[in-house]
Order: sequence, then structure tokens, then C-alpha cells
Amino acid sequence: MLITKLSNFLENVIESISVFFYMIFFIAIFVQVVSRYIFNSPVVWSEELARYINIWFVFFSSSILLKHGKHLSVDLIDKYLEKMSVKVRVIHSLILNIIILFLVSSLIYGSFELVIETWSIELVTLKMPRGLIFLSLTISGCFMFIFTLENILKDIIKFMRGGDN
Amino acid sequence: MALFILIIGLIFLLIFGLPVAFGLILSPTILLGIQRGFLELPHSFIAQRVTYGIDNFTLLAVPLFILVGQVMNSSGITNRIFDFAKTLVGHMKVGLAHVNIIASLIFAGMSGAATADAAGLGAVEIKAMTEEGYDLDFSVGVTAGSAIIGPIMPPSIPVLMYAILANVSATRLLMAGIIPGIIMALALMLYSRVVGAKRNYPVQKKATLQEFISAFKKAFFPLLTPMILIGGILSGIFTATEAAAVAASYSIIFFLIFTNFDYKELLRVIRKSAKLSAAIMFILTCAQLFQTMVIRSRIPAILTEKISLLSTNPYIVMLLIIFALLIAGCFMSTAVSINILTPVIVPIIIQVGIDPLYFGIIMIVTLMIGQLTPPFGMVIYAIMDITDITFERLVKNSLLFVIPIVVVLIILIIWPGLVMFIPNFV
Repeated sequence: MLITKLSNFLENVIESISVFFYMIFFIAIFVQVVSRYIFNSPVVWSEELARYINIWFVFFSSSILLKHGKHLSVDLIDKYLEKMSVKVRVIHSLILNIIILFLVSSLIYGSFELVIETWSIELVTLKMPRGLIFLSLTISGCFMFIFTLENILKDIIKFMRGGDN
Repeated sequence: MALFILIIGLIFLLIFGLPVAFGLILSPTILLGIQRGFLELPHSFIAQRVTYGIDNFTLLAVPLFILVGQVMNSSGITNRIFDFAKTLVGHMKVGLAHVNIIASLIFAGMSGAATADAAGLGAVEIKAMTEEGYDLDFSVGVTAGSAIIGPIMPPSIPVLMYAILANVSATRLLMAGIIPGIIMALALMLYSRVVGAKRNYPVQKKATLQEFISAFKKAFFPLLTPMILIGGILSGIFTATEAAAVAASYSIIFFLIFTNFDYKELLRVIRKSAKLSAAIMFILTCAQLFQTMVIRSRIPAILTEKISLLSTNPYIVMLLIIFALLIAGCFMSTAVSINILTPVIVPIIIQVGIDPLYFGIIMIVTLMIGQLTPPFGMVIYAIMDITDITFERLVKNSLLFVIPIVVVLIILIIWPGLVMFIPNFV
């Protein structure tokens, strides 16, 4: 299916970027420690860079976790659902995904407001717009929205087929 | 009202199967919606809390601790640590149980999650014990019991999460876990000696000095990782995050040399660690929105009032809370319990005059007991994956090893000085 292909492509792109962020984060912390303890002249930008790139990394990776339903949950209900018909299971998953879609929309809207509000303020050491911090949530929120929509679509197709796979 | 929506509502959402992170956003959102009207929801406030939750220098130790644990686990050094522990305590009665526990204690100094310990080192331990004629029931029990030393000893993911949410020093809380971790190992050794004494397990020959030196040489470079981590924090040279960064760099260099520069495997480990870290940090950041609303709604104060009707004696209050934690620990994983309960419980603890730093260790030890019990004992499932034992037999045997952990918990409650000695010293 075209949608699956597109979404897998998007996933690969996001994952590569988030691993890249993870490495930048690691290097930034490393630079901070080395500059402070070995060269005795702490680099000023490293702490801010590490903190903010970490936010980007967490949100980007979270969107992929959402695609695969890998976010931690209390799976007490799963045992009962297993015994139910496929339709019940699909409806359950549909309800959860719609709730998530609503929450993600709220996060996108709220973080976009913050981006506009804080874009003109500069970060102390990085000299970049403060809005960049919140932009991470806006962008990853959109990814989360897309992936959740995909999951909802899959649920609907499953439901239409009456549950056989 | 707020209590009902935030706490009961959240529990309902989680049981219904909503991912924990989203439950932690939804229940505060519903409360805000009821207070201000659902069309007037403060979206930017919610987004801001969720973003700033991760913006914390201590939190940056989380991905680094995970990286160290994963890299060390994948580098194939578990055998060397096991062999080293064997030359130390292998000759004692029920020797391999002691070896198992000591190896876990050493590994606890590199890894901050019980499941990683159970899955990585556990496979080596159970295999060795089976080969020497120990029965599987006993082996899995010892392995499960000793795996939960991991999150007590630094580095520890649960300790970091608690420190952030309870607003106590992560460095001091990490150090507070050292003595309880060692006591736990001793209690487990004593217990397995008593339990194993009747079973006539083979006794190993005492290792010669030469054997010891050769095992030590092989384990030397892996042993440096906990030295850097614990030593760096303990000496006050590094903050937790910095020590984690140094240990992570060291473990990556070590990994590359040890595996003949297997970059592919390293990238796989990094990707895996990245996902694990993101999952934990995403919950932690959402938990801080929840925390803000819990405090704004004065829930801890309301609960304190209710508890004070029962008793104002700090010991009794603490015992009540521990009892509640034991139940919670049976139904939720440690990460989930800490994120949901810390914001609610810690203000109560402070109110009755208990040091939140001390209570952090008590809380984590208590929650660890839940790791050994169904339905959410992650350690049980990790061991399930590496052996072919039936679930019931496994549960029966891991439950037996809850006994020494409960004894340790009681010891720590009676003598708080055991927890506070190192943090007070520094």
C-alpha cells in the first residue's frame, strides 16, 4: 500500500535524524566534560546545546514509538481483550488512537503558539531563537498526528474486513 | 474533585490501555477543561510543561546511563565478570549462587535497569549453574533476586526519575543506594546459603592466586566502568551526568576494541538505547505536567489530612505508604509507579518529617519487590525469555527470593543511617 510505504519512508527519515540528534547530544556533553576537566576552559554553548538537542531527540523518537505502539503502557486489559472478538479489539484500539489524536492536536496547537511567542527571544549562549525549543514539539507533533492517523486508518480497514487479519 | 479526576481518572485511563505518557497528559487536560471550559483549554501551558519537563541537566544522565548499560551488555564481557566473581566466592558453600550475586552486584555498577541485568548476565549465570548441577528452580530464583540490585546501586534509572520528580540531589541519591545495594547482596547470599545448604550442591575448588590474577586481568577493563561511574560521583569530581558521559565514552571505546571495531553492532546498540531512552524521558516529561496539576490542586495536602486522621506518627505513615507502594508495584512497572506516585507521595512524606532523599531508596526497594511478582514483574518476563521454565515454576521461585529483599527493607527502615551514611558524609 502506498500509505504504508510513505509512512515507512517517513519513519526511516525520522529515525536517522533522531539518532543523529542523539549522537550530537552525546558529543556536546563529551565536549563539555573534556573542556572543563582537561582544558580547564569550559565551552559555554555545550550545555545548552545538549539540553535542547535532547528535547528534539526525545520528541522525534517518541513519534516513532507511537507508530509502533511501543510507548509504555499498563497491559492489564490485553489479557481480557485476547478473548474478545477482533471487532471489539479494533474498537478499543480505535478509541485509544482517537484520544491520542486529540492530545497530539492540542500539543501541536499549543507548541506552535509558544514558537511564535518566543521566536524573537534569543537563547543565552547559542544565539538562536528560543522558539526552536518548542518547534521540536510542533514538528514531532505533526509526525505523531500522521502516524496516529495511519493507525486509525489501519483500524478502520481491519474493522471493514470484519477482522480476518 | 481534582483528586478524583487526576488520580482515579488516570488509573482508569491506564487500565483501559492508554499509553502512560498520554494518560499523564490527558488527566490534567480533563481537569483543566472542567475548571476552565473545554473550549478554553490552555494548550500552550500544556505544551510548555511537556517541553520544559525534559529541559533538565540531571535528566541528561538517563540516556547516558542506558547507553553504558546497553553497550557493556552487548560487548560480551558478562562471561569475564562471572569468571572473576567465581575466583572470589566460588569456593564457598552453594558457591555458584554467591558467584551469581556478586557478578550481579558488579554488573549493577554499570547498568541501571533490572531487566537488562536479568536478560544479559542472567543467561550466563543460569547456564553456568545448570552445568554445575544446580537445579533450575534455585538458579532462576537467585538470578531474579540478584537482578534487582541493579536499580539500587548507581547508576540507576529509577533513582534519576525519583530525584527529578522529588527535587532531591541526584548525585546524593545515587550514592545513598550504594550501602543498601551491598546489604541486599549480602542478604541474598546468606539466604541462598541457608536455602541451598540442604541440596548438596557441588563445591568449587578454591581459586589459586594465579587463577585470581588471570581472571582479574581479563575483567580489569570492564571493571573500570563502574569504577569511573561510582568513583567519579563519589569523589565529587563529576556530576551524575558528567560521570555518565565519561563512562559512556569509555564503554564505547572499550566496546570497539573488544569487538574488533564492530561499528554495525555499535550502531544497533546506539539505536536501541536511543529508543529506550526516549520512551523513558517522554513519560518523565509528561509526568511533570501531571505533577504541576497535582500540586496546584493541593492533592498531597488533602491526602495528608486524611492520613493524619489515622495517625501522625511518621513511622506509621511511612508503613502505610510502603504498603500502598507494594500493591502499586505489583500492578505497574517501576518507571510507571515512580512517575505517577512520586508527585503525590513525596509532599506527604516531607509533611510528616521524613527526609525525601532517604525515602527515595525505601520507595525504590519497595517497588523492586513488584518486579519479582506477577502480573508486572519485568524481571520475571526477562528471565522467561532466556530459559525454558514454566511461568508458574518461575514465579514460585522468584517469590521465594522476595523474602530476603523484604528483610533488607525492614533493616533499612529500622536503621535509616545505612542509607544516609554516604550522602551525609560527602
